[in-house]
Amino acid sequence: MYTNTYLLKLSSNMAAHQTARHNIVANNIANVNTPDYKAKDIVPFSKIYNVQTLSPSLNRPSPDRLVVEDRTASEKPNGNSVSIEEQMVLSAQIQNDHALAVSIYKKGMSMMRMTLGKNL
Amino acid sequence: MEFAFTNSIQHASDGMKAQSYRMRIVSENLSNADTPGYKRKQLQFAQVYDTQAGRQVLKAGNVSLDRREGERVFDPGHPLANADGYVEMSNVNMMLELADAQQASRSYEANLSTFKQAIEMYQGLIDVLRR
Repeated sequence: MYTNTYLLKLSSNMAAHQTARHNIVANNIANVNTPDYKAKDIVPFSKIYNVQTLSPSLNRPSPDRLVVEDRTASEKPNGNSVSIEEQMVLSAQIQNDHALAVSIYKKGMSMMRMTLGKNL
Repeated sequence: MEFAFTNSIQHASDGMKAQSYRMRIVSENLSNADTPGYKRKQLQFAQVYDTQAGRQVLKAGNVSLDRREGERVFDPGHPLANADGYVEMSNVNMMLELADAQQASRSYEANLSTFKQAIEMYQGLIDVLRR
């Protein structure tokens, strides 16, 4: 099961997940002053993908439910619940996780090249 | 042309536009702090559905006036003085405007760093193609 294509597929799905999360965080940061805007986040990767079979998890939320409202965020007087500090920390995490996924992918590719031998 | 980080970059640029419009309003208020009778301007942020772009867009618009009374200064010699010798100055509070300007600048930088991160992540992806 743990073939090289599994590794490539998993890491590319992880990178896509981080991209989607970054889109949401960018939207949150842009709306830091909009009244009644609630901060959003994405469902964690482990809940979306079944890592054993590398297919979408059986009890994952439907596509329109992937983006959830962040209920732990506190509200400001104008109804807005975005905290810039939290969002900046999240975006740093996202960048790291994305870089991790991309380097795993690169390593997978270089392992493939190694098995093919120096003549290729 | 759409690519993986199109949405992030669009949101970041919406945010930057909104914050710089906010700065513009603040600097207009500050420059008119001593104008008699001036009412300070306020900005409203909202998310509206833009049919042309086909998505929710952040709009900073709807400039409204703060109708509070300005400070009354006793100055009988002023050309705009009323019968009692009072002139109504602007209702701009310097501290408020400066704090607003600082917030706008901070939010602008946050949006800018989001934009930079999106570009860096995309370059990381392109890097995979390099041997």
